[in-house]
Amino acid sequence: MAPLGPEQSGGVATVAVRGPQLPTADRSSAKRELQAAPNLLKFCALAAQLALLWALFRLYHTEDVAFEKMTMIVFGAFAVHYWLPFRFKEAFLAAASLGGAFFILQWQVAAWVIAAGLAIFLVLRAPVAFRLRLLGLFSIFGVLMYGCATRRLPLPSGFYAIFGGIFMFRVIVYAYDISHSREPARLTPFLNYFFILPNYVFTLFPVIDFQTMRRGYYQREAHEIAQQGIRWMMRGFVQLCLYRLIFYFNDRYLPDRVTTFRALAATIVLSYLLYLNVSGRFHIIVGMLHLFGYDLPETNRRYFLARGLIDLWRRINIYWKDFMMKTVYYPFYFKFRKRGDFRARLGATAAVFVVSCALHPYQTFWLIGDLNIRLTDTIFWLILGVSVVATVWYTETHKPRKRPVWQTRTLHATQVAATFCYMATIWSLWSALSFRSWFYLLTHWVAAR
Amino acid sequence: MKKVGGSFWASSGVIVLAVLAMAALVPAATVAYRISAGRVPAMWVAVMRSREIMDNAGVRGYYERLMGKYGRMDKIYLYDNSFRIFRLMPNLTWQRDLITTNSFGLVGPERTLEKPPHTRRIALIGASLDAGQLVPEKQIYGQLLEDRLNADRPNGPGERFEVLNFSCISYTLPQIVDTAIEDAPRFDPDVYLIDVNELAASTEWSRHMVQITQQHIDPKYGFLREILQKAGVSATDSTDILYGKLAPYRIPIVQGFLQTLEDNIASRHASLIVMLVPAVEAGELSKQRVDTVREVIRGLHVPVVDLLDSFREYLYPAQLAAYPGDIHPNRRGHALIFQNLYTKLHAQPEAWRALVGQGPSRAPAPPQ
Repeated sequence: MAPLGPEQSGGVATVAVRGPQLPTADRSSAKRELQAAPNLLKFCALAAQLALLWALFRLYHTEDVAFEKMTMIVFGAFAVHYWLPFRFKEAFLAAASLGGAFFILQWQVAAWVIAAGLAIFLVLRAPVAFRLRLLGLFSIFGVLMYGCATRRLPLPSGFYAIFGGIFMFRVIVYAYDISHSREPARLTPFLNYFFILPNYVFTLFPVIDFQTMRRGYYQREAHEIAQQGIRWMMRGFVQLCLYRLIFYFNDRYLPDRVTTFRALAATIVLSYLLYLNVSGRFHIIVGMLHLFGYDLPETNRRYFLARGLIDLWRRINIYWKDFMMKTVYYPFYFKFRKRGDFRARLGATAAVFVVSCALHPYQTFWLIGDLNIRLTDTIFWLILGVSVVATVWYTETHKPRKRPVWQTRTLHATQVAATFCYMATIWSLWSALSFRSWFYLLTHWVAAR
Repeated sequence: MKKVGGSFWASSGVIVLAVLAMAALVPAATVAYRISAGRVPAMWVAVMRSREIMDNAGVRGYYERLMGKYGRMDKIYLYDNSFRIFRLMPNLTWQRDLITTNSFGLVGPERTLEKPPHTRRIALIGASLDAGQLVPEKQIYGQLLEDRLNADRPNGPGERFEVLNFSCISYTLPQIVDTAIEDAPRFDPDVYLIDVNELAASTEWSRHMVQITQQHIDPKYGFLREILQKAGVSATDSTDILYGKLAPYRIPIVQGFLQTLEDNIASRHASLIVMLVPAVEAGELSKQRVDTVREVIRGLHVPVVDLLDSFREYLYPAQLAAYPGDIHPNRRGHALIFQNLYTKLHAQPEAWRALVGQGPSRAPAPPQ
């Protein structure tokens, strides 16, 4: 069945589409409303797939009880949200997300997280200079970080991880977008951006871009968006199944058990493959958002097949890459490009890795309350950063020459293999407890011979 | 934005087929598990279905640390500056995890310090699997063993058996050994049943050494003091650094503790039986982990009762867990461990003799 046309849809849409003098925002809204038009047959197909997926999640014990609850709420909310008039959809989703927090989390944690979120909103919405709003935001974060570090605030212990999972990065994106927007912050988009149902279960969450989320809202036909979301959820599910298997195989390789080169190679490769856990979860999260019309981009794309470090950076965590581009790379680049375009690009790339290196302990701090900065983390980001900057420099200074097809293909395969091996090796450093234990892992097989 | 995938209906069809295929793997694996060639792939399917593997301490990558589950159980322990750091509180009734202790802090019913006449005492020492976390006291395999021995009376009607359960949740091998050396002898046991489970062998094996180093607690045992010195551990090191420094010394430390245990119990003229008790995990995770110290265990001159195959009949052992995703056995799991233990004790004359002594009886029929 074709999507509903203007005549078949609600009155507002009909007027909006026909009124040539309407402002762009209204025209865009009317277009989105058309994309969200329901279709019984397609709804049944989506609902049937979700029911099957839900059964599969249960059959494979995909996550814990909280995940099961969250999935039921998401799929149930989808069934209601789908049939609601367009103007009520976002408000309903916000209400379902806020209400869902009380079902999924301890009610004290839910209440405090929502209260903290509203305080952040009020600060960012305040009719004062942006610098003052930012100061208010820093104050809230400062107090809560003190609480997270010392546990001296009268907040439930589960609060900090959930608060961090929701606000630690996205608030940066949101504040950035608000600072560049002529419109003031609005409550419903704010709630739908931060209070996302899967975030209550998955504190490690993709850094969704606020603008991309708003822009993608019903930008395509609703069923296509939802279907893509289901496909990604399925892909995420398969990745999580594989993750468990990899975890199982890797478990046997305690450092003192790595007594052959084969065992060393196996554990290095398996440690890198464990990233499927992150990728699988991100697919499920973004897939769920697709059910509500948010046509978000892929979070990870065939990263094990990257043909170079820049390519890998673009694929392995696309949302993180976009987050860094927006908040670090472009600001740095535009500030320094007068001193030379190439130097500015190299500098911006280096800045991205310095900031990434700093933000990972910040993430660890919020999610598990660990303040330690590990040397292995710093060395990992240093190696990765230097490697990417060197690749940028090489790519810029060495133009590729034309080659026969077989040579191009062979080169491509070699590049993929080399990138994988290189990443797996430095990933094993990142996974190691300390530099010394990584060195022990790498060399023990020689001593054991 | 780039449009991904084909048409709506084609994509729906693919998803339905994929879901059905994944679902079909579950019964297919059950069938395959019964055939020897299909056993390993079937176990892989079981691993893919296992929730518990996610929460059980294992691999320690950056993201695994972030997504790990961290719990505290401070309310059930007494903390001190001793080598063991903590022990179960006496007279504890911990409803949530169904743990009750007597006035000595031992799991189970009240006991006397002095051994009653005509009683053979068995000291059961292990961790949460042996303490019966999440299982009613009377269903713990140690209690089932006591009940069975008292029903069978292998040493004649005049002699009773008592199983004193010294196990403590979260104990690793050094704490288990220290309990056997320091606490148990006060009760004059005749036999020591020691569980060397995966906590002694997997990533968590050095947790206790990390804690004593951080808390400036004396390593107490000469060999341990030497190894810690050699490893260069320091109280100022972070937890991760300490784990890293200790990693190469796993086998010497496990060996040192088991040897100390064997020597100490031999000097008391008591018997020692080492048990390998499984957690409820898909695949052969428990076995895989314990196998890493198998050589050390073989080096002991004591009977070893391998119970790691207790759940072998269950491809999906989740039904034997205390709750979905947990590694602790439920009542049925404890019953299976007990049956396996009793059967294997019978099958190993040396172990049976160690258990019941040199009494007049022959071994009764194994349990059905």
